[in-house]
Amino acid sequence: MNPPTLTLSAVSHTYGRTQALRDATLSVAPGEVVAVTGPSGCGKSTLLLLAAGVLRAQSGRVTVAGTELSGVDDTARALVRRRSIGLVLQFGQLVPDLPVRDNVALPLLLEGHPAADARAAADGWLDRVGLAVGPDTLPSELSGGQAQLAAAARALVHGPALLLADEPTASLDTRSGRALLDLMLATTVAAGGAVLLVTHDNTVAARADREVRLRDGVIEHEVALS
Amino acid sequence: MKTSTAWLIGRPRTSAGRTRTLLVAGGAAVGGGLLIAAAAVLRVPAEEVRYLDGGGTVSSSSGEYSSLVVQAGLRPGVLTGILLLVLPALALAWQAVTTGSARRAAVHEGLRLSGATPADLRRVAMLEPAVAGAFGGLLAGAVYLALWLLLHVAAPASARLLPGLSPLDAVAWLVVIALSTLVGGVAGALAATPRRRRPVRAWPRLLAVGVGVLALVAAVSAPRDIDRHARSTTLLCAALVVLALGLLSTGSIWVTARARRLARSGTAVDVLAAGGLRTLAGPAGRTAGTTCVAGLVIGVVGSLTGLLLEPQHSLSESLPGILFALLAGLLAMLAAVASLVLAATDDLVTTRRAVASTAALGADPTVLEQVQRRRLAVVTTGPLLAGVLLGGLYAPGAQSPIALGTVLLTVALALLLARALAVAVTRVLRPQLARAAAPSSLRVA
Amino acid sequence: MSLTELHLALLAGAPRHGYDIKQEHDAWFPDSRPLPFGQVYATLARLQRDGLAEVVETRVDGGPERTVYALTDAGDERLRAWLTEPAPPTGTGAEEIVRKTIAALHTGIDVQGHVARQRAVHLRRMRELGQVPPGASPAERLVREHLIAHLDADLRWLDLATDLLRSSPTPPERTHS
Ligand SMILES: Nc1ncnc2c1ncn2[C@@H]1O[C@H](COP(=O)(O)OP(=O)(O)OP(=O)(O)O)[C@@H](O)[C@H]1O
Ligand SMILES: [Mg+2]
Repeated sequence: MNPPTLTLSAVSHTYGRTQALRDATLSVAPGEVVAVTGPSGCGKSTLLLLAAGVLRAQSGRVTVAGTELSGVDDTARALVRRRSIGLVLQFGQLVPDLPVRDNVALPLLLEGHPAADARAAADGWLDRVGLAVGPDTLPSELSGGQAQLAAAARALVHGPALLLADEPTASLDTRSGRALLDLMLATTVAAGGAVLLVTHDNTVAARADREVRLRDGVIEHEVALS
Repeated sequence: MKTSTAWLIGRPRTSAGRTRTLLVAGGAAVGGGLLIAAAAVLRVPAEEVRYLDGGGTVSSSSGEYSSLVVQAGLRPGVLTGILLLVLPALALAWQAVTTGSARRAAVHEGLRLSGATPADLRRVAMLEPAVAGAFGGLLAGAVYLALWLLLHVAAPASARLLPGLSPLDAVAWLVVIALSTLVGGVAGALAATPRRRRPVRAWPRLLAVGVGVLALVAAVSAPRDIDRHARSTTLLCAALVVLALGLLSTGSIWVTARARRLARSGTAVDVLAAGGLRTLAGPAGRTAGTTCVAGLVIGVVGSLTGLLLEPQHSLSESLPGILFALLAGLLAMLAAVASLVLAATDDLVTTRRAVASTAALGADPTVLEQVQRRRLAVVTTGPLLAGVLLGGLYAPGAQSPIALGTVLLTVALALLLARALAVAVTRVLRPQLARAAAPSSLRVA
Repeated sequence: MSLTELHLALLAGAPRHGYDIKQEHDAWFPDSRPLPFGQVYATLARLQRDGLAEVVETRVDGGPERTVYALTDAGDERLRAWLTEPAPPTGTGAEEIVRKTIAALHTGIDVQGHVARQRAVHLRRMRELGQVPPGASPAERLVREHLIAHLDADLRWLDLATDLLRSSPTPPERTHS
């Protein structure tokens, strides 16, 4: 059995006085899809940001592709994020003022790939997610759903070992949402990647191999679906 | 990350971004050109005064230069004047570097999520201001050349402030280029460093202002002693710099206090104006600081003009000084106007969504414009007046009734000017306001 | 039919007589058809016969004579066994999931476990339905989508039910009538 791609052990996080996550323990194996569900404000996004190393775990350990994120500095965590993680956040989070195409090419650009190659790859992924934009289209010219498609393309462009997606289909209609989910899961799983999906949509959660249910910052239950 | 990648990501793309670059370059160019000029003034042969037994004096001056730069007692004054002009130029450049901070924070967050390391982020943040700084440094040469043409070639001997060109000017230029590039980069990195939200401690800043005021009064009212003139002018210089820095840093305190007052007053316009001021206390405070420093320069200029009009100076002798002072005042004004326009534009760009939602909720354009004008008034009228009054301290310190008169005149003019500015800038920005209030701004993240 | 177990649930809190049970049932399920007395008495008799309930008291307070029933240990066991088993994820004709959930919420027997198991079977079924065999006809796809939508509605209702329970310390009040 391969070692898990993502492991959280006894991770807690507090914002000021709000305890958003308490003692969360969870792991995702290569090729596995795990859905994190729960009511609004239960700490799903917090868990995802901790897994991405965007937030630093205040206690407990987070390990991604063999690197323990809590034990390394910001630079090392950024490198893990750039090389091993694809991140789709709840609100798209594209870089404003940077053309959509360059936004999608960003992980490759940061990694030092020549701009022409990175842009060609970005065009390929924009095509696959079904978003037609010109080379100079800006994120502010996209609809909410289109921004989400672009964010998904950006998360997939570098073939990450771990795909972290926060409500990736929330602003898409049923059909586009399903198509995007199909693409994200199929490409990542086929390449042996692991997926952590945050959602409050049961039809999205039903695509996972396992459901982890959060309530008030605590993992309430975890069930296998496959 | 490769520098080309950093440039691809960080280069200015929007018109707001390009304005920022231009202003940083412009501020650096003016500041740098003036610094080269200040260094050149030091090269003017100083007059040596010998005291004759009979009580008269003999000057070694050849009469080639204005007495302003030749006399040991006046030259530091000229240098102070130049330095005072450098300050608003640099304050403006710094303000330009820090504009659009909300936007840039969003850019940084997006980059960070895609895996940019802290070093990458710093590089992206530094590159554009550094390039702008370098550009400004290059332009500083042209600014100096213009000053040289004006104050050496074109000026009559009695008004000649600058010596002929020399290789030393080129050295000074190179130093200015290097410095402005470096300072630009560092300023960019500083402006991008997320600051922990600490409560702003008011007293160290107010203390700096207090110390500056005391030092200014002490320096001005010290007995005039030919031998120690250089030292007292140095003290004056230091006092003004401390005061200016103190004033720059107290801007946000002023803005926050005013916002609190406005929020309590209760009319819709005041409450809306207060909201914007509070969330943008930093940028608005920097504008207030820049305006205040411009006011300080104008106040000092008013006093100096009065002093130069005293009957003991002949008009032909003091005319260049007066013109020079007026030019300084004009430049300070320009800095204040640029700072205002910059701040107001930045404010509109940053709060576009808020403006659009206010409009969508049913606020009509005149209300939006009033809100805009109220905010501008907060960062102009008070700070400008405070600066002029502080600069005006120069006059009573020097115990010159004429100077006191010119200071009062300057205060009155400044008041009128502040009013006119707030109105004019609002008028100029009307199209931008309309664009911000347009429904398409509702979706700008 | 699960009416037997539902009667056990209605008896779980405290011993009750037939009229009480009918009242309680109608309060639990305000929207459904009121429980006929005849059915209550028949069910109670059957429960007693099977050793799942017993007569603990015969009360006469002014009115007609009333027989008070209580759960036996076997009855309690049977109730718990029923609640341990999630309702079949059928999507349509979902009375069973409603009965079970309401019974679990009212009796307080392992509510969290019930929700987890119910979510699991529903999600599993949705997952199966989502894996459309290649070459399936559009009509078949649509039938599957219909089922998925119903199962999703069940799960959302389940969330709502547990949230309501959490936010009110006492069992849900009668909402209609
Ligand atoms: N930056 C923050 N500062 C303070 N509190 C925060 C912050 N981010 C989240 N919280 C709080 O932490 C809790 C968990 O937030 P989180 O965003 O993880 O919820 P979520 O499960 O993703 O909710 P949703 O389904 O609405 O997206 C909430 O109570 C929220 O108010
Ligand atoms: Mg969230």
